[in-house]
Amino acid sequence: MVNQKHWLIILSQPPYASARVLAGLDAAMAAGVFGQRVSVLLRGTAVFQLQQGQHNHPTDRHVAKTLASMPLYDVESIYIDTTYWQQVNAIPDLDVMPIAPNRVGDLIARADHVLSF
Amino acid sequence: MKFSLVIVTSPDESRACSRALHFAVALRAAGHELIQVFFYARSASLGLPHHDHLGWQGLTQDTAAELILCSASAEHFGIESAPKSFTIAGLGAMIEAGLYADRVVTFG
Repeated sequence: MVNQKHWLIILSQPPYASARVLAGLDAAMAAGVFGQRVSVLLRGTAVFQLQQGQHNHPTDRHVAKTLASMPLYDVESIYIDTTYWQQVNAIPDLDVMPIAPNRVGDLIARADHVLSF
Repeated sequence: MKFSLVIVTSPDESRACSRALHFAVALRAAGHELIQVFFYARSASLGLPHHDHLGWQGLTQDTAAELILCSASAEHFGIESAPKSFTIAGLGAMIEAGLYADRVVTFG
């Protein structure tokens, strides 16, 4: 058994679509806490989760703020699909790496496990 | 090859649970090993009494495959005890299965 694997968590849901994005972030945090290599990719319209002033449902956690806390859980990289990124007025000081859609395949190929939410 | 499955949508909102069950049966028929099925987020509602568990329970009769309801999700649905052949555990169990698995497949 290998004690560490590289997990890629792909988030594809736009704001207000479902709680799946938060479920994905919980999985990312759990993997980080258990000493795994973890990357997160926001794909397609999921990048609008990072829109400044985006409100969350009162009972839900704030996606952008949760993403900002990822380094505390040793989540090493947050990738942003560039398809809609120019349209997003993102919250400041978020450490993300833009990635072109045609490079996402490379990201997936480098991961041991890919979870889609 | 060793597989672990993660399901994220409930049996009431999509056919993900049903597709995952068919996939699990096909895996075994093809000679692969199923380590775990993790019912995460809304899919943990499969543990509610009104859902049919027989197909899943059949998977565990002659293999060591684990059927796990995510503990936080199960609590959300008011599930205090797991159906026969199922257990309740946290996300750590899903990550641990990933260490042994060659592939983790998400349904939902």
